Amino acid sequence: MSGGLFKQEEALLNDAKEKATSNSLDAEQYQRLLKGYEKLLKQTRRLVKMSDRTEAELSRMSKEQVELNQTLGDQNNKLETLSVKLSKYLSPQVYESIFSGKAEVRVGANRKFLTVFFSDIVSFTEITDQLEPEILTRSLNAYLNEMAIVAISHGATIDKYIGDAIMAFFGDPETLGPQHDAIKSVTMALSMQEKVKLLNHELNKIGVTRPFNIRCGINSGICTVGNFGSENRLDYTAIGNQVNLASRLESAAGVGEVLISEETMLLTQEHFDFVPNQEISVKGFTRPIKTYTVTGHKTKKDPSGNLSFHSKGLDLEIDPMVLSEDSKKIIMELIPQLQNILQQSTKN
Amino acid sequence: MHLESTNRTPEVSISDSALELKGECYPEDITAFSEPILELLAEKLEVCESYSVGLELRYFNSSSAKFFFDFFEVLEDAAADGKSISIEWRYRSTDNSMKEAGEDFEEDMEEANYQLVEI
Repeated sequence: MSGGLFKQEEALLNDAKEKATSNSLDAEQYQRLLKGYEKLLKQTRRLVKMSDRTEAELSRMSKEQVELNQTLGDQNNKLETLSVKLSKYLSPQVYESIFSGKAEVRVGANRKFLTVFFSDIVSFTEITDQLEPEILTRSLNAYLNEMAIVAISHGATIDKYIGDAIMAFFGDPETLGPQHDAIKSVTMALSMQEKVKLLNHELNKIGVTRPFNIRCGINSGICTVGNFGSENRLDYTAIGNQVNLASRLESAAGVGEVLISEETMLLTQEHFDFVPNQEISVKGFTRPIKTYTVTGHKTKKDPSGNLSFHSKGLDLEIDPMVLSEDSKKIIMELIPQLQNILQQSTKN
Repeated sequence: MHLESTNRTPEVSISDSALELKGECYPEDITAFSEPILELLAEKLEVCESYSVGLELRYFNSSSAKFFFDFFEVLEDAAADGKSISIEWRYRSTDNSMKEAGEDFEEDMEEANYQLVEI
């Protein structure tokens, strides 16, 4: 839209055309036309120069932008790599809450209802004394890796590894509610017990002749959870008497046992079977603490006709729709034998 | 006359003794933007003894360059008629483009007092 911009020049040109047509262009008019042409030529030269300069400037800025994008891309890749490395030092939920900006990375804590889990390998020091350092490293890492997979798949926040011990909790930064958190925790503990049995076969192949057995302790209650430490070095963890109780339950648990407090038992009793265990005394608690050993998932018969029962010494999953006729006959034959075995063991 | 700046046009103030223009200049309709300014400037120059102009541009397009050629011609003609015309072309120290543009316009100024001022 530059028509009006050249109003003077157009007027001069039209006047010249008119004079030329009528053959009446005198010297004065010719001079005026010449002056106008000189002015236009000068302006055109400057405009071309300015235009070239602007084009060069845009080209330079475009190159700078490309280089900047490349630098930003490189820095993003570096950050991504660092972030992936960093994520291995943090529980996935903690990593997610920090990197999504949901949680503030500063000293501070909240009171939350948590279900806290502790586990360790029974007689680990004695086992490791007999192992070469390389095998010890491989076996411990394999163990912790498998346990972490189980923990993460159940939604646990892994607080820390202390040698062969694991501390995890449910209820922060994400929670499904106290009951579901407690159920998840007990389910996880039972899964870990099963996983260790499978892992022992693998560890045996690399020279770990004495199998790993774990004990687990679980307690539910109000804890203080958050970032503890200094502004320079923070630890995201849970503390308090209820955490100490979970640790104490783990110490008191037997080989291959999941020992839980009364609070956790009450939250999960619809889903698991328990047997009462000895009362224990814990620092910070005036009365002895009632404990319960988890014996397995509650037997349930679902509408599809499937039967499921898991307990120490028995894993039972029956799906009649999948079983072959031969398998069904074998099971029918096994049932009287099973009854005999159980009757014999009861008499003994 | 006072025109607030837009994202395509500069802020413009015209009084009896001075004109200030500051910002970016690449209007959609250069004639609609430039004609009122040139007309009012011509009126002010007609009746004044001296006039000062300050320009501080960050960017202008080719149509605006043509407007500035006409703008400076009006000022130069007034100076040639005996008016005291002073012009300051201000540019940021890091902006070579605007410095060089100021130098280009300076070449046509023989009678007016034209100065390049780094800010």
